[in-house]
Amino acid sequence: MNQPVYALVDCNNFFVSCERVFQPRLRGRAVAVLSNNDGCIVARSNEVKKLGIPMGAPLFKYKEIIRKNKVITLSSNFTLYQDMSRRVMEVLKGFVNKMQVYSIDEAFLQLDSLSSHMYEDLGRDIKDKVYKCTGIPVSVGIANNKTLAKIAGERSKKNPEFDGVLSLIGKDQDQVDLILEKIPIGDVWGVGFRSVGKFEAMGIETAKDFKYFDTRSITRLRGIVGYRMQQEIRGIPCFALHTLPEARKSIACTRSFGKKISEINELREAITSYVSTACEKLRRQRSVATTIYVFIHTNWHQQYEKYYSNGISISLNNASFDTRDFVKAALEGLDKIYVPGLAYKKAGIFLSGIMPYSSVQMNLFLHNENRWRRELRVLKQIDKLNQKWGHGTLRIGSEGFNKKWFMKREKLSPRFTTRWEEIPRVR
Amino acid sequence: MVISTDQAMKRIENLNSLNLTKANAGFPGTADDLIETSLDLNRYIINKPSSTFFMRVDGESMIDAGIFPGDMIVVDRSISPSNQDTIVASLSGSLLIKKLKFIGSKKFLLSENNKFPPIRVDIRDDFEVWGTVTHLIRSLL
Repeated sequence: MNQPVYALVDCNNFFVSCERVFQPRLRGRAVAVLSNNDGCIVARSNEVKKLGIPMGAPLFKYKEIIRKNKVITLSSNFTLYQDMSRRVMEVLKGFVNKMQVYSIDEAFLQLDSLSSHMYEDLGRDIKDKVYKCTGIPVSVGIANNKTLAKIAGERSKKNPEFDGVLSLIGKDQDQVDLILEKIPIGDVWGVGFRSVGKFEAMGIETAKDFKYFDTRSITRLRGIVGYRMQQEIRGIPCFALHTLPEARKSIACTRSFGKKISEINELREAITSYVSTACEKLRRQRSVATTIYVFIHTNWHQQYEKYYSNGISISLNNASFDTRDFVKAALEGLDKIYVPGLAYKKAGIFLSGIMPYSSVQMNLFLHNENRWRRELRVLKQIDKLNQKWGHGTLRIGSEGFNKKWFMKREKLSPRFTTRWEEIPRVR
Repeated sequence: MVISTDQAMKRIENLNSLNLTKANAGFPGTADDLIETSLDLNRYIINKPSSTFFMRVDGESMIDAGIFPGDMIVVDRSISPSNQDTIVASLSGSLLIKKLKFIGSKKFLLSENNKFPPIRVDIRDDFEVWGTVTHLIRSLL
């Protein structure tokens, strides 16, 4: 009889919050984080939201407001956000057995069954613990399905009365409806900005309108997904914790060599081809990665030879799906760990920091979206040709490619948690 | 094999985040062995990785406690400080290393240097305990 209960934990203004953990002077002030090239605003503190500056706003359009209100603008420090995200998720893992990391700043937790009045307390424990351990403020929405949990989370953030935690468990229909009528249809999970107009044209403006709308019309408009969304808002769970196929957490490509390899050029070639394979997998699962780990080692069974093993991990400045970015990083890494004169038996690479396109698209590729799509199309074509004509038909040249996106990141904060030279200073 | 502490830390961090059981399949006996066979300073110093941060000391406010400019401190946010613990405090927008002292219901931030007077912390102040300092790391070379 135990119906699962879900919590959505959402980091508040995540990028801004990460910056504030290490720069307390930014607390209570208007802070905006910019996209690649410092072109658009991709994260806003509450103070910035109040100024009416929208998400994704091009910087130049709001120059005046920004200047007048002394808004502090920062370049996006993806290395820092990634590390802080990892910490938040780690803390959340301590609360449950089952959890789905939904994006860099959100996770669904499947909660143990409790008596219904206890969930709010559990939510508050989660919120307090995450803040204490990481300094990141979160809000928690709890309900018997993911769609309602997301709505509860949204509400808990907007209404100060809830202080960041709202549980719909044990609430009756009327109480739930009071919450639903405050949620614009565009804020319902799964309603993209394209379909908002269609819903509004049908007279559906809030989640409550959606809940009571004729099911057949919804199904006709949005198919089975629309049907399920409506069922969930009505309190009938449809999406399991991992309904969406989950992207792999890491992608590896490692091989033992048929014969031992000593020359760096041969190793470079091997690494390049492993990276190509791994990136192809990455794109197939519609994901981006942030980090690549390269390792090489000699034969460890042969005791008369000196055993050498080393590996290095390199983080990109931005999440990427582009083979060229990872080849470049991997070869730089290889140069650092390669020792001449040894007979290498095995080499490999891992991609990590993997996230679906959808979780980073809005935040990081906003400014470059068209270029991004074009790049993706080209790479997809290469993948297709390789699948058709055999792997390696089209290859990435190992050397001599130019830095593709020249990035302007003038207001980048230090990588407080991942570089020794950049750790915070205390007086 | 000789690698720098920096590289080693980074590497171990990455291995941890890689979910080793999964990685094992295609990755026999390289870095896994390293963690098993040698003493791991990370384990000694870091009790809770998710809440542990490294910081650098700037300034001389704690020299009488043997904490010098340039020293590295390990800070665990998850630990609530007791009386007399060394903490990192966030006060009026700055991060400070101080000794926390409770006198009755009053809170003080003490420096370990006569030149720096104690700071009485009021509820109205923009004050927060950022974390508790657990270790001090200094290179002698």
